[in-house]
Amino acid sequence: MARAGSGLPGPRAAADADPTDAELLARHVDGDPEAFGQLFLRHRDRLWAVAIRTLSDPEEAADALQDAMISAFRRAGSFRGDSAVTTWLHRIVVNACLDRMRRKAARPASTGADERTLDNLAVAHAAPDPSPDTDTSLDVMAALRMLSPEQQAVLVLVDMLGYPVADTASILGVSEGTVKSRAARGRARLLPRLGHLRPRTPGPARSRSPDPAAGNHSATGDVLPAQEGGDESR
Amino acid sequence: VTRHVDAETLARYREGDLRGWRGWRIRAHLSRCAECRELSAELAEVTTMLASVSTPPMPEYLSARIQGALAHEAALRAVVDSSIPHPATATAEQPPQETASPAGRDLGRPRRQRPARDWVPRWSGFGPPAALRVATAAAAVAVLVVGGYEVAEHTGGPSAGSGRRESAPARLAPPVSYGPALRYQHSGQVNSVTPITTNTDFTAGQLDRQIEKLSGYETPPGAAPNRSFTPAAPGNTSGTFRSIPVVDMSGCINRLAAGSLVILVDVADFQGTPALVILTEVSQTGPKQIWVAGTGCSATRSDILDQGVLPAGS
Repeated sequence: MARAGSGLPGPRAAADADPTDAELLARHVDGDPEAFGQLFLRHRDRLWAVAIRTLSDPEEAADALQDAMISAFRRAGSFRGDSAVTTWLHRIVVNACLDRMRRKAARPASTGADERTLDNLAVAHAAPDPSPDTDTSLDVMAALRMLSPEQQAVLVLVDMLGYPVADTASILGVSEGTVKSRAARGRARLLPRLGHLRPRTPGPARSRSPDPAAGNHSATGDVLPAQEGGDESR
Repeated sequence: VTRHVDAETLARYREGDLRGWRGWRIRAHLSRCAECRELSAELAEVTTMLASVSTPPMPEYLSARIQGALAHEAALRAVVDSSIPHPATATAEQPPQETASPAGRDLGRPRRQRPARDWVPRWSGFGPPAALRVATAAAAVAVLVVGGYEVAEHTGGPSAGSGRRESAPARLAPPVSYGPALRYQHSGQVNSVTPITTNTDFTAGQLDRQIEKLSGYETPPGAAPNRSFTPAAPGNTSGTFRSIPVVDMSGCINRLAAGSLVILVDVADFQGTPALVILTEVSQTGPKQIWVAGTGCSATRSDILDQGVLPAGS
C-alpha cells in the first residue's frame, strides 16, 4: 500500500483501503510487488472452484491455477480493460485447465507414476483431501468427464458454479448462443448417465436413453431435431 | 399427438435458445405431453445435480504454494528491473550454450576430501545459520560470491569471467561446489538458498544416512554478505547450474518447499541419474523432509523421485 494512488490520479484515489481490481492490477503493472498477490487472494476461492471442478485432482488444479496466475502476472501489462479483471483472470484459468485436460486426453497413461508421488506429497504436507465427496458427487463428476472439454467447461461454469450465460460466454470467448448450445448438449448427454442417481424412480415406461426400445423416442426422425442457429460444430 | 422432443432440443428450449415457431411448437407439445414434461423436469435435475456437487476448499498448502510462486515472480521482477541493462535479458528464454561444459562438471566431481576449514558438522545447529541462509532477495545476490569459481557457469555471461573461476579453487578448494543463490518463498518472504554439489549418488532407502553425512554443508562456508562483489547480472536466471536451468531449480525448490525452510540443496545424482536433493524443515524442532526431484522438476512440475524424513533431533 506504499504506492497509494500511483498512476491513478483520477477520482479513485480515496478508495485506497479497498482498491478495485483494476486499481490493483494497475499498481501491479507499476511495480507494486504486493498488488498481484492481493488480487489472487481476493479471487482465489472462485478461481480455485473453477480449477478443481474442471480438473478434479487438487494438485493438478493447483498447478493449473499457478500456471494461470504466473501467466496473468506477466501479461498484466497487456490487459486492455475491455473486460472485467475477474473475467480476464477466469479466462486464463479456464484456458490453463482446458490445456491440461486436452493434454491428458492426448496421453492418458503417462502421468500415473507422478500422480502417485504427488499423493505422497500431499500426505507429507498433512493435507488430506478435504472434500468429503459423496458417492453421488463422484458419479456426477465421472459422468461429466465423459463430455468434451468444452462442454465440461460450460457446465462447470454455468450449472455447477452458477455463472450467468453472458459471463460464461465472456470467460470462454465464445458467443452466448454457443454457451447455450454447449450447455444443452452437455445436459442432454448427461441425462442417461445420471438417471440412476435421481432421487425418485422413474415410471416403468420412462426410458429416454438412446435405446431403440424407447418407443416413439427413437433417433430415427420422429422427434423434433435440433438444427437451429447458435450451434457449433464439434 | 405431435412428435416428442429429443433431450437436446428440449434442453435448448429450456435454455431459451429456441424461439419463434420452433419454440412455440415445443411449448404446445409440452402442454399436451406428460412424457416430455417429465423429460424437461429431468433436464432440470441434471442442473440441480451438477449444482449440488460441493467444491472442496483450497488446501492451505496449495494456496501458499501459489502465493509463494507469485512472490517469487515479484522478487525476480524487482531484481531484473533494478539491475543494469544486460544482454542476458535478450537470451532469457535460451540458456547460454556453456551448459554442461566438461570443465564445469569437473570442478566438483572428483574432490572428495573433507573441507580444509572447520565446518562444524551438526544438524542440531540449524538455528544460528539461519541468518546466513535466510537472505532477502537483495542479499541473495551477495551470496553468489561464495564459491565464485562457478559463477561463470550460472550467470551465463562472458563478463563473469573465466579467470575468476580458474583462480578461486586453489584458495578455497572445498569438496563441494556452490551454485547460484536460488530464491524461494518462506513464511511470506523471499529467501534464498545456495545449492551445493557433493557428487553423492543418493540411493533409495539410504537417503537419511547419506544426507546426514552432508551436515555442515547446509550453508555456504564463510558466507560474507559484506564482501564486495557484483555479479554481472544479479537477476539473471537464464543460466544453468550443472546443466539444470537455474529458473527451474528455483521454481522446483519453491514448489517443493511450499513455504517451509530449505536447509540444503544438493545437485547430485539419485541412483545414477541427475537429481536435486532438497532438505526442508517446517520447524526447527520438527522432522526434516528429504525430497529427491528429477531434472524435470520446475515451478510447474514436481518430478519427485524419492522422499525421506530425518527424524527430529537427528
